[in-house]
Amino acid sequence: MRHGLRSVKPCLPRAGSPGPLRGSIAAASVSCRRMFKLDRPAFARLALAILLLLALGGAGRTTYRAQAAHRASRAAAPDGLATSDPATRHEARFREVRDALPASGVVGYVSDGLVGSAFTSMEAMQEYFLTQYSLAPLIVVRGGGQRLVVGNYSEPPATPPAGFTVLRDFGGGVLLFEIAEP
Amino acid sequence: MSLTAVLALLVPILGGACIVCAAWPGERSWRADLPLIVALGSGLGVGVTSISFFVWLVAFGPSPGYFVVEGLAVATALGLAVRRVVSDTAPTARPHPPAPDHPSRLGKVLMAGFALAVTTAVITFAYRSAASPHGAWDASMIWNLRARFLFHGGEQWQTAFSNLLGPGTHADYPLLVPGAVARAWSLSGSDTVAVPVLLAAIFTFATAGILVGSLAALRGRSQGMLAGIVLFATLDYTWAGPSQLADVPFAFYVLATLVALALAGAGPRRRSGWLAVAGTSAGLAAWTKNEGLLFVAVLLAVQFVASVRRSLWRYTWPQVAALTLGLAPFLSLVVAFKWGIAPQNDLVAALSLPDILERLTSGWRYGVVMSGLATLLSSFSGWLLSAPLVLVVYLAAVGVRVEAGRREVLVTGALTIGLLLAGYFVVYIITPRDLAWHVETSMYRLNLHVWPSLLFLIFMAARLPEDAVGPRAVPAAH
Repeated sequence: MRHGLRSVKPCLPRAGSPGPLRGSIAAASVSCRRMFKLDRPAFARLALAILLLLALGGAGRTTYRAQAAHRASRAAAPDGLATSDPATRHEARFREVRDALPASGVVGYVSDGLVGSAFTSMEAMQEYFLTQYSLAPLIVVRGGGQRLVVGNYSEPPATPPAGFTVLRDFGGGVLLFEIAEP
Repeated sequence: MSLTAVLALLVPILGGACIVCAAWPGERSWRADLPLIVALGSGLGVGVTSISFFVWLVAFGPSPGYFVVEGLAVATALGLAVRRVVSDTAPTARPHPPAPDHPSRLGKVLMAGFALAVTTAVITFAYRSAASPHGAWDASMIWNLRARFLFHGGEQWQTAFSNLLGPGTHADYPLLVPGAVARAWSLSGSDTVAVPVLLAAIFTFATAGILVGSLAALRGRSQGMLAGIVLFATLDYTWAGPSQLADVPFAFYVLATLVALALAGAGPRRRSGWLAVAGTSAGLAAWTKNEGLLFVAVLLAVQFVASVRRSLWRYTWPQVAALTLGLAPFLSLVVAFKWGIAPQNDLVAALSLPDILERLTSGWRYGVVMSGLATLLSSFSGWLLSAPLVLVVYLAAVGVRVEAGRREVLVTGALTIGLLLAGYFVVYIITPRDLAWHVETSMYRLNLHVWPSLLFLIFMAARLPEDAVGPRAVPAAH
């Protein structure tokens, strides 16, 4: 097997200025080959095999994870939806509200996850931004300072906030309020 | 899947591919490089129609007239492509490197591995898109939200940039993704989720297409397929693709710029057409994300320094003109958007000189960023061992072989990517946000910006697998 001896030379840094990176890589290569007592082609074959195995194994694992996540999302999906993705659920909850509101303008937003203009949790903040996403191109601002206010509650409130009149209850904790004097 | 959504996105792909095909250098066969032409044309077509749709919206408001003009432009591009195809005199096989009549055993292994990697990437994309059809959190909070304002807003599309929306929606971000989505929604007539899903698919697979196609053209098919396997097997990449964020499109334009510069220097003389493509890609990167402005600045600085150094490229005035011709229209539009329409960037607004100086001299901040980088590099790719580490070992094993005339491409490409990353590092150090949170939530995405380009540079430098593994694997299996 003469190629083992022959192939040690050609891919080492060429004479002149090999550059620090190429020099380091070549030095590391020589050290590894000495450590494992491999000739150059054998070392290259081993490295290529390891690269392919790790890459294709990783690709398979990623696909498995994606499939598991999809299955879990479908299993947790509410009736009538194919996924439990928060944006999809929010779109379904707010579809009717969107039709009941004007095409443009600004509406207020109240929620049991909103105290003043501060959110009580990350989920409450996400719910607000998803409401903005569902109702665009309407602008949704926090608080009740507008004539029309969208209410988003985990449990429907027993009574509307002071000064608010319920225009419509869409169910599932989604309400449309009107304020006489915002 | 809406047929109109598919058609709405096929138009820019067709137009882009036709333009690239028409401009393909005469000594190269368009047949041999067809996957590269289509991949490159897809992203360029989507980007150019995104920006032209927005310019039309600003100038004339929402009107179907835009699509008439776009249709005429695509028909013209088709005519130019047909003329190029009919007059093709180049040999079908690439002169460099010679394509073997029968693929070697190693070639067959790589082909099978590549087919497997593509299959897993397609399945992963489908599962992820089915589970989250509206994309990841930032997609509905920033990119698709802006597209909805542009599409549903009608004459009042400017509300997309209202200060009432708050800093969380980042109204100052460039509009390549929202513009492309809104354009396709306008043509298809509804805001179907199929459009952002398909757009994400285009960029995910076209980025890989450029990587594989360019390496196949410049180094050989096996090198291209090996790079494609690594990219499709990177969890962070295949996971981010269907998230409908702007990071994969940005990675596309960074890679397209470097590839165009490499192809410009690949022929007997540097091609001005490729430099124009490089300029266009860089301009579209700036229309995709704010980081694109940093990329353009770094790119121009590196090209300038390379040009004035005797050992590297020297630009002639027509070549400078070609690069400028590609870049300037898009860069001016981005600057006009930033100046006249977009609100101030929330990061920049919260910065003051004393704060910047204090952060720059805080040692613990460097520690937090380096620690985040170390964590990322150790876990990046989702493999049993980190992909960057495995690639370093692979390079050590197969060796580096830089072919004549390619040193400039590697040096300028590596400098561009290195300086871009250095810029990201400085932004982390001076960020007014909670540093640990900022690093944790964004570093993996910033890493994606350069990952396809790094793979391009690594496999441009690595010896060909056929050469490295020795003669045993080369003969064809009969």
